[in-house]
This record gives sequence, C-alpha cells and structure tokens, in this order.
Amino acid sequence: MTLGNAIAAELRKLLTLPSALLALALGALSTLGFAAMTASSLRDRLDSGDSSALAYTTTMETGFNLIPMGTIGTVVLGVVIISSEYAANRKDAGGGRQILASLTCVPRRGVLLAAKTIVLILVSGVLGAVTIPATIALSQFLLGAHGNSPSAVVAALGWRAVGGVVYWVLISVIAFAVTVLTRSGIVPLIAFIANLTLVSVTFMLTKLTPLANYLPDVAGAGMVGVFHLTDGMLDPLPGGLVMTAWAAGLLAIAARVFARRDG
Amino acid sequence: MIEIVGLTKSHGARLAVDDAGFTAAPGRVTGFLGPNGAGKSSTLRILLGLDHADSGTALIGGRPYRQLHNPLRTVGSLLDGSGAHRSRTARAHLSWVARSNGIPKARVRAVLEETGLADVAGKRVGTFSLGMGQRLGVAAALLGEPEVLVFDEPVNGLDPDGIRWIRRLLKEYAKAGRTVLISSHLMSEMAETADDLVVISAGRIVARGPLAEVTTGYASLEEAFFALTDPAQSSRDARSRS
Amino acid sequence: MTNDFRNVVAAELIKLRTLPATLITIAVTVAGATTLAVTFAGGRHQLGGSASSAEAALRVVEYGQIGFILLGILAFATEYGGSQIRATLTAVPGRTLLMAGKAAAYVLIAAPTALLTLALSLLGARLVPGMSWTGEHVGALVGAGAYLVLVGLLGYAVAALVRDLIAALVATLALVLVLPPVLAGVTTLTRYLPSHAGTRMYELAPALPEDLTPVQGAVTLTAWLVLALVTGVALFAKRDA
Repeated sequence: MTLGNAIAAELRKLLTLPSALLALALGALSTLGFAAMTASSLRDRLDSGDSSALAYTTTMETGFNLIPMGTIGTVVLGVVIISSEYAANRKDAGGGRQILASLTCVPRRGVLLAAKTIVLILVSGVLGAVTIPATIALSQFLLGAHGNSPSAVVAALGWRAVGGVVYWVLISVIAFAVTVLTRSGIVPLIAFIANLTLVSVTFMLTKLTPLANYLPDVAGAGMVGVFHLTDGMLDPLPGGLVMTAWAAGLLAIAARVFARRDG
Repeated sequence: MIEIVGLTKSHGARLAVDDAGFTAAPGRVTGFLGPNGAGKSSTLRILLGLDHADSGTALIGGRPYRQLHNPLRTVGSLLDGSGAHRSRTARAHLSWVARSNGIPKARVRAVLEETGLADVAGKRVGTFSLGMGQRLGVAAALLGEPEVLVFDEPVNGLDPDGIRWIRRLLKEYAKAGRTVLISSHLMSEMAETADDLVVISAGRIVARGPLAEVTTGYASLEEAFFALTDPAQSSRDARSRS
Repeated sequence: MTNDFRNVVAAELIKLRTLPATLITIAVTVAGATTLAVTFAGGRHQLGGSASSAEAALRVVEYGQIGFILLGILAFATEYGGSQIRATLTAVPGRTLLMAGKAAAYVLIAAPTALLTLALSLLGARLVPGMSWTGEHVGALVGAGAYLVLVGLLGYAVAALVRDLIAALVATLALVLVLPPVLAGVTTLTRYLPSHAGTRMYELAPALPEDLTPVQGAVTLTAWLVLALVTGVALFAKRDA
C-alpha cells in the first residue's frame, strides 16, 4: 500500500460522500449567493445616492467580507471526512463502521491520516481557489458602474484572496484534527461554526488578553483582514504562520492519538 | 390473526412487494420464507406500520397496526436487532418502550430475566454482541405479553443455545393459542419451527399452506424452496396449478 | 389515538434522560453560560458592560442558545443514529402523537435547564466584586428563558425535517447564527428571521430602529416554529420509516 494509492482511495471516498458534496456546494454557492446579494444591494444604494452605503466598507472589498462565512463549507468538509468513518451504519445495511474497512485497507495509521490530510488540503484548496476569486469577480461585476477594474482589485487586495484560500484550508485541517480526537462531529461543528459568527468567543477573548491574538482563527484572520479588527492583531505573514503552527500541532496530537487507539 | 390482502409496494421503479396475500393463524407458527431481497422485510415493515403500502391491506386482529391501542400489548415485533440507541443501557431501553405503552415496570425485570439479560441490564447497548442485541430485541417484543409475535430473522446472530431457546419460545407461544409469524431465509430453521409456510419470491407469494403440503412432491424443504423461488420454475408451477 | 399521551411523554422523558449526550449537553450549557457570565462581569471594562448582573446574564443567551439547539436536535435526531426509530414507531405508531410527545418531553427538560442557566449566570455575575442586581430587567430575563426553550424547538423541527444529527446541526446553526449577520447588510427583512425576531424577546435595546417589539418578536418566532413543526409532522407521517 503506497501513500499514492491511499490518497487516491481517500479522494474517491470523499467525493462520493453525499455530506461532503453538500459541504462543497454549501461553501461555494452560499458564498457566491450572498456576495451577489450584498453587491446588488450596495449598487442599488449607491445608485440612489445613499451616502451611508460606504460608511463601513469600500467597493474594493465587496465580496471579500464573505470569505470568513464561506469557511462553513471547509469546516464541514474537515469534520465529515473523519466523522463519517465513525458513524454506525444502519443495521439492515450490515451495521458496522467504515473505519474498520479503512484500517484493514490501510493498516498504517500514519499513512491513512496523511492521505486524509492531503486530500482535505487539496479539496478545500481547490474549493477556495475557485470560490474566492469567483466571488470577488462576481461582486465587482454586479457593482456595475461602481465596480473596480480587476487589475486594481488584485493590486490592492490580491494578497487577501490568497490569504483567504490559505485560511479556508487551514481551518478545515484544524477542524479535521479536532474531529479525529472527538470522533463525533458535534463538538467541532458547534465550536467552529459558532466561532466564525458574531458570537465568536476567541475574538471576545482578544479584548481580555493580548494572548488571544495567537489563537488559530484570530491569528489567521490577519491574512484575510476583514474580520472584526482587534488591537494587536498579527500581520498576515506571522498570523498565517501561527495558524499553520496550530494546524500542524493539532495534527501531530491527532496522529499520535489515532495511532494508539484501537479501531 | 394476521391478514394480508393484495399488498403492493414499490421502492422507486423496483416492485418490492407484488400483490401479496396470506394469513397467519392463531395457534400456529407461520414461517415466511424467501431469498434475500424477495420482499419479506418490506412486507413486515408495512405490517408493522413503518412503511406505507401502495395498495392492499395488512391487518392484525382486523386493524392496521397504526390504529392499535397500545400496540405492544397486541403485537411484539423484532426487526433486525434491538433498535436500542447504542449509548443507552438495556434497562433504560426497555423502560421507555414499556412506558410508551403503559406496560407496568415489573415487566422490564421479568423480560430481562426471561431473555437472560438480567446480568447485563446496566450495560450500554453499544457494548453488546450481536446475540445479546437480538435477545434485547426479543425482550422488548415480549414486554406487552402480546397475542401476536412478528419476528424478522429471529435466529440471526444467536449461538446454538440461543437458537434452541428461541425455537422453544416461539413454539410454546403458538401452543398457547397465539399467533407467531417469523421470517427467515434459513430452510433448516423453518423446517424445525414452522407449522405453516408462506414462500415469497421477487415480491410475489409463490406458495402457502401447512409445511407438509408445501413440500409435497419434493425431497426436502430445501428442494421445494429452490423449485418455488426459481423464476422460470415458479411460473411453470403457477400454470400447472391453475 | 394509539397510545396515552402521558405515557408517550413519560417514555420520551426516559429516552432523553438516559441518553448521556443529553446530560452532557445540559451540564456544558449551564457551566459554560455561568463561566461566560462571570467573564462578562469581570471583564466589563474591556468588553463594554455595566455593573448590572442581569445585563451580563442576558449577554450569555446568544452563546447559551447553542446548547438548547443541540438539546432540541438530540431529542429527535438520535432516533436515526441507529435503528431506534423502528423500535419507537412500533411502540408508538401515531406519528403526530409521537412528535407532540417528543416536543413536550424536550420542553419539560429545556425549561428547567433554561431557568438554571439564567439563574446561575445571574448569580455568577452578581458574585463578581462591583456587580449588583436590584431586580432590574426581570421581564427581559423571563423573555430570555422563553427564547432559549423556543430556539431549541427550532432545532427539533429542523431535525425532524432532515433526519440527521450533523445536517440538522449545520442547518440550524447557519439559520440562527450565520444568516442574520450576513443578510443584515442586504435587507431589513432579516428582522423576521426566527433568531433575529426571537432575540427581541430579551434584548434590552433594539439593534436597529426598524426592529420588532418584544411581543412581535415572540409572535414571529412562534409562527416560524408552528410552520416548521407542522411541516415536520406532515413529512414524518408521509415518509416511510
């Protein structure tokens, strides 16, 4: 069993999993849909001469502000790629859990986990690399006369689009690593979905202690730059590195636990 | 008394049950025999009110299952496994089942004893073996001291001891004048247990009657079964009988 | 009526309280809410709060609602974790009766949990030096308790529609937490979204001038619930198990 075969198998497994396909559709379509609505509404307000329309935003960053919300798709992806292994089958389908089949096919735990991680990075990376530029292009198109030229947007904020893709990938890897530990998707889904909204506990913590700026999602937010900005927020590069370190660290813990655990 | 008349059910384009009809009489063990996917479970699921029939009726004591008052006091059923949530204990599972039909709590202890699960009553169902899960399903079926038992593949996962135990249970139940309907694809099991036989193949009832009558002209039940459930053979059979 | 309604509720109560996940959810919700209330009270200078313990307790609702949503989802979705739904439907074949019994059992567990959550949050905040409570905002606290119970029913209804724990969780959290802020910039109709309307039952000041009154908010949330539950019951009765 080579890593290559394991990766090919995991890729097929993921892309034939209905909940994973739903997560992909959810991530792409909801981001595009909400971007379309936001851009259209902004254009209407600008057309009607509403002076408050640009109080909190610019025409340049329209679409970018939906990057954080879109992580819901990659978070679900990271959770179901492993939680689906532990879900019990219906009795009339023979019962049992897929993890047993997976472990008998790829007995080396490290290889199995590495294959899953690589597939996850690949799929959420492609999802981000397609969705995020499409969202920004769609937003600029729908702004009509108020839109900016592609080159101007790329020059001013292109780094944020790249940061957005990296953020989507890293958050899905972190969600994955946590789910390897919990085996059930409930806790990671609640934690990551709730945390990307207004009731974000991690952003609240940044107001209490500067150390919270080093929490994975807060640190990575610097790469995207459109979250609630906090005092002491890390710059894109160090922020991205801190988030990557979290992902790597959590993966290492997950791998250790996964290798020692009985199926 | 179980009466099934003109029952038809399709799953999408596939016809799972095709104009099926038979009765299971009190005082008899009726065996419901057929290969996997022949429509046994589909028929039993409709009989127990789990699925809707496209047409036809399935009645227990003259009423559809969904209209029975406190149904577990009339019908005890077992459809593969216990249906207990894996993180609940056996006792907790039986407690809610009993409560939902107003069955006294004392019955929980009684069926735990009867099925040999008293020692593991406090263990989570997720830790059970296949056989223990099957016993728990039987325990739930016996809770309401029902007049009718409907068991789908009851010997599934049981050890020889368990098989003998369930055979005796079913026979004694029928001997007391109650109705017992069991499905299986195991011929030896049916030959041992059943008084009457209903054979289903590709959704259609291909034979029914007392065991001896159905197997007349064949060397064994097994030969009868293959002759009856072979599509080409069974159509010839139907012609010759009509 | 196939079964006695009281028996159905009692059976569903046994189911809920013998499920470890329920007890863990309740414990984590209450403990988490109290911790947050203490955090809001202790960090009120940085987090922009007053010395009112009631305000600190009310701020917790936004977070605490997640526990109630999960509780509502568990009440229905655990039926589909294995084959328990079969055992349930052979015991209680009346679909409407079963849905009603489950909802009643959820409310009987959620209501005391809501009371405990808010009472301990209030007490926890009050014990922080410098905090006070002179009986203010009692109406809002009652509204908060009612909201917590109702928002969990929304999770219950969604679970009945999708019949899967993970899907129900993602859908309800998206509906309650993600959708309102995302749509807020686009349309003022967000005030009619279930969570945004329900928030008005306990929020001290309207977030937007066009927001609903607390009573309107409660009515709107209830209307959503009725719609979702009626659809859930209809689908549940129509579907094969």
